[in-house]
This record gives sequence, structure tokens and C-alpha cells, in this order.
Amino acid sequence: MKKIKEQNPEKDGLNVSENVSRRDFLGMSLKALGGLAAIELGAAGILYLSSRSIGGEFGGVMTVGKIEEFTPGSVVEVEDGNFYLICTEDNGFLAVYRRCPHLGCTVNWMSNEQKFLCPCHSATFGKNGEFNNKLVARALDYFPVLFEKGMVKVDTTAPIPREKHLQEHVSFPQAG
Amino acid sequence: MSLEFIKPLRERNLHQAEAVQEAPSRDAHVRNNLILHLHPSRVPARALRFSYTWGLGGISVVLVVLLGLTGLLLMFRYDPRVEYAYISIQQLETQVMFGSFVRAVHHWSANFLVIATFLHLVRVFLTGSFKQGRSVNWIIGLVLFVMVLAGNFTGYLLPWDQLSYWAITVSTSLMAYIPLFGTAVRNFFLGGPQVGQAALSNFYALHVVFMPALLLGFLSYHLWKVRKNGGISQPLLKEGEKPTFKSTNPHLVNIEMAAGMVVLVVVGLWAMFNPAPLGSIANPMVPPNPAKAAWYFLGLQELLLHMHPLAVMALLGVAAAALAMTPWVDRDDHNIGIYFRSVIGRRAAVFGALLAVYLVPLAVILDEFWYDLPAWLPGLHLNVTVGVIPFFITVAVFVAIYYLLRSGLFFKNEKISHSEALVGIFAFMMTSLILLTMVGIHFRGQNMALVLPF
Repeated sequence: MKKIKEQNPEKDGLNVSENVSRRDFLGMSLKALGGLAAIELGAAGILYLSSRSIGGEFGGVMTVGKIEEFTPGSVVEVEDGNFYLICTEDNGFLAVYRRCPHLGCTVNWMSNEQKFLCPCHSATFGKNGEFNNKLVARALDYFPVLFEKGMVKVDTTAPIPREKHLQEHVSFPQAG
Repeated sequence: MSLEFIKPLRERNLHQAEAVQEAPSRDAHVRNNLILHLHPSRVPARALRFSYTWGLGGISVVLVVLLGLTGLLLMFRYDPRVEYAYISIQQLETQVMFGSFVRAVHHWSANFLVIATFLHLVRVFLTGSFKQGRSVNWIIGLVLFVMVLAGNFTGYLLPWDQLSYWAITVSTSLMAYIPLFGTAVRNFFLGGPQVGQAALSNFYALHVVFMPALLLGFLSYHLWKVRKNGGISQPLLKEGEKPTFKSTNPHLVNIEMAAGMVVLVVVGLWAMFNPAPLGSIANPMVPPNPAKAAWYFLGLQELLLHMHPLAVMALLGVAAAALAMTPWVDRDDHNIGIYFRSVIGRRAAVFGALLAVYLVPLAVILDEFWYDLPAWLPGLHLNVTVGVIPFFITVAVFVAIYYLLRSGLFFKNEKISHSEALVGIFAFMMTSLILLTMVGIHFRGQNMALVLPF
């Protein structure tokens, strides 16, 4: 390479830069194009692989039942939707994701103790999904609850993470 | 059966004694050719000592070959669809001739491989075999160990029973704690927010093609590099001492064959009497109690009971980085090939191991029944009390052990070198890991509470 670098410009009699011979230029172009191709292939690969998520595995909007059917203060497990529907004492609705935010085990509702228990690391959560343990510093994720024509619907597209339970996470059906 | 008839007539007519002499020499030629592609023609006599290497690298290679063969057989019968995966394993276990045996050999080879490669790592560290230009191969070895774990991990999901479903759920949830892009990484591997068909397809592809291909590539490089580095490590020769050599065939070959046969017999017998476990079919609604990861990850799961996942990952990262940097941290080349570096190094190792035997159970019990940092320091965020503080305490323990050993207080003020002190730390680390794993396997019951196994 070095030898050619010195020889080429004089030999060709062309106005080429003294530092870059034609051979070097072509060589560098090839490397640059090769790099570009590698990046393209890598990006295409990642896009190809990341689109594998099978649609419908995690549902869209789910209709759970009539508003009147839920007694205040009750917790209902909806297996297909991966959530617990909590009907609060003041008739609000809250859908909490069934997965423990610690390591993803399914939390169980212990109706006797009025709390959620994760059997993997015995993390516990209160009735609104707020945490009361030292391992997980996060409340259970929740799904938005919608009301349509007197029916309770839950949008299970994506669970919404939250630090603490706040009153605004509870939805109330519009009066009348 | 005689293969006499395929020989040319001229050879058949040769005097019988002559022909007998000819045949083994041809065989030997082919055999030698094959062997000498892998080995040098002569090896140092001292390198043949079995109690130096314990044949652990070779045993691992035999197990990898077994895994490849049985894995291929299993692929003919396995169906990587959520609805059929469990059923196909059940059929394999109950209806297919030798199905249970093939699966058991695959299962146990994989488990033994984790143990064999771990012991190989320990052996290489203790004999300082990462020294004298072997740093690259040490790192390749560490990568291979991670790949063995990854291969085990990806295979764990495939039977689609309760054990596999929840072990993978727990382990992949751990990925989500990686800062910034954790959830994206988790969703990438699972192909969605939770373990389902996409996750099974991913793990199947990774397990049967990606991991074996990668492992084979790195393994070939690892073996080639051993020769490139002038064979396995040996103690330095004394002044005027001449190395004695022995021919590879039969001296080394015989040892390797014997070790290989023993592995085959042990794995085969073990697999006959212990079929691979298969729980009930995966049920995403009901996690088993306790939900445990695979046994080789239970040491980590045990740590997770005591600290924030990010602290555990940070500790793991520090430990991995420390192991990878070992050849540059311990550059004392003259004690290569000697177990524990020296007699003092052996004492340091015993000290480190005993300290772990004392400290680890104590720490586990105290955390369970007594100390409660979040309650003692109510003003601080949980990430600090169960994350930052335990992380730095653990790191501080390691640093303290190093300076304790260096101070010579424990060895009648005998001077202890940097290299020997590192052996003590290594012994402490590995013993702790083994103890935490044992606590995870035997002493954790319902709700992951501490229980006695007897």
C-alpha cells in the first residue's frame, strides 16, 4: 500500500491528493460501503426480529360486564385479560395488572387478608395495588377503565407503570 | 466380520503375516493424523498429571458432543408450539422408544456441563493458568461459561411445564431492571410483554441454532488457542532443568479416552436411573409456590431476596469485570502452574472459603430475622436502603478481605503477596456463590421463607 501511495500520483499525472491514491480511495470506499451494508443488515435484522410479537396475545379493549354487577369493595379476577378488576367502596373501578412488578410472577388475591400476595418472593400489595413490602418499591401496574353504555371495559393494550397508587388511577362511571 | 474380500487380489495373496503387519500401520496413520490435528506430537510429561487438570476441559468437550447428538435426536420429536410443546415431551417420555433416556442424557449432560465448566474455571484460576500470554483464552473461557449458562437457560423453557414457564418469567423480568432499555430488551427476547408463543419460538431458535453455533465457534478457538499458547500451563522450569516429553499417542490419548469413557458411563447410568423432570403443564394463572429459577441461578435468586435487582446486577457486573481483568490484575508470572500459587496462597484460600462459610449463612439469617434497613432509615428511598447500601457493603467486604490478607495478621505476620491475596478473595467469592446456591436450593420453601430441608 505504502509504495503505491508514493508512486501513483506522478505515474497518473492526475491532480490527485498526495495522501490518497486511487487504490486507497477505492479501498476506503469499499470499507465504508461494507460498513454501511453491515449497519443496514443489522438494523433490518433487529426490525425483523422485533416485529415478532404476536398480535392479540395481549388483548385490546375488553368488556368485563355491567356496572351494576360489581359490588363495591369487591375484587374480581379476569383471567383472559391478565388483570384484577377492583370495585372500590365509593363505586370507582380500577384494573390492576396481575404481574408482580418485582419479577413478573402472578399475584394472588387473598380475600381473607384483603391483599395481593406474590408467591415468588412473598411481596404483598394492598387492595388498590399499592406496595407494602421492602422488595418492590412500586405499586401494581394498571390498565385504563372505560365505561360505555353501562358496561365496564378495560383497555389491556399496555399496562401503565406507576410509582404509587393515586386516587386519579380510579375511574368512576359518569352519573346517570 | 472380515473385510478381506474388498482388498485387491494382490494384497489378498500376500503372505498373511505381512498383511497383518501392514493393516495396523495404516489405521495408526489415519488415527495419528486425526489426533495430531488436535494435539502436538509430544507433550511435557508433567502436563499429563491427571490431578493437575482433572480432565475438566476434556470432560466438558465430551458433554458438549453428547448434548449435540442428543439435541439433534430430540429435535426430531419436539414441537415448538405452545399447544403441542408439552404434549410432545410427554409423548417422548411415555411412547417413544428410548425417548425418556435421550431426553435424560440431554438434561443431565447440560447440568453436568455447568458443573464441569465451573470447576474448570476454578481450576484455571487456582493454577494461575491465565498467565504468560493466556489472557485472551481466559476471556474466551469466561465467554464460553456464559454461553453454557445461556444455552441451558434457553433450553429451560422448551418443555413448557410449570417449572420452565415460571423460571423464564422470573429471569426475564430481571432483564427489565436494566436501566433505560431494560423493558425493550425483555420484550425483544420474549417477543411481547409476557412469556407466550413468541417467547417459545425465540428460545427454540436460540437454543437449537444460535447458541450451539456460537458455542462451537468459540470452543474451537478456545482449543486452538491452548496449542497456540504452547499447551496447557506448567510450572516454570528450575535453573538447568530439562523438560521431559512423552509421545501424545498413546500417553495423552489413553488418558483422554479413559476420561471420555468414564463420562459416557456416568452420564448414561445417571440418566437411566434419573429421568429428566417434567412438571405439570405451564399455567400462566398459577405460579407454583415457591417459584424458583433453574438451580444454577438460585444463588442469584437468593441475592434478589436481600437486595434490589439493580444492586444484584451491578454486583454481577463487577464480579464479571473482575474475573475478566484477572490476567491484568495478577501479573505475577513466576507462580504459574502451582495450585494456590504457594503454601501461603493455599492458606489464604482456606481462610477465604472458611470466612464465606461463616459470613454467608450469618448474613442470610440476620436479614431474614433481624436487620431491616428500610425501617431503620425511614427517610431514605427504598432504592438506597435495599439497593445502594447493600451493594457497597458487599463490595466493602471484598476490599476488607483483601487488606486483611495483605496485612498478614492471620498468618503470623508472614508476608502475603498480591497474587496470593487474590486467591483468598477468589475462594471467598466462589464459596459464597456455592453457599448462596445451596441456600436457594435446599433452604427456601413456601413464599421463599427460610426452612430446614430435613
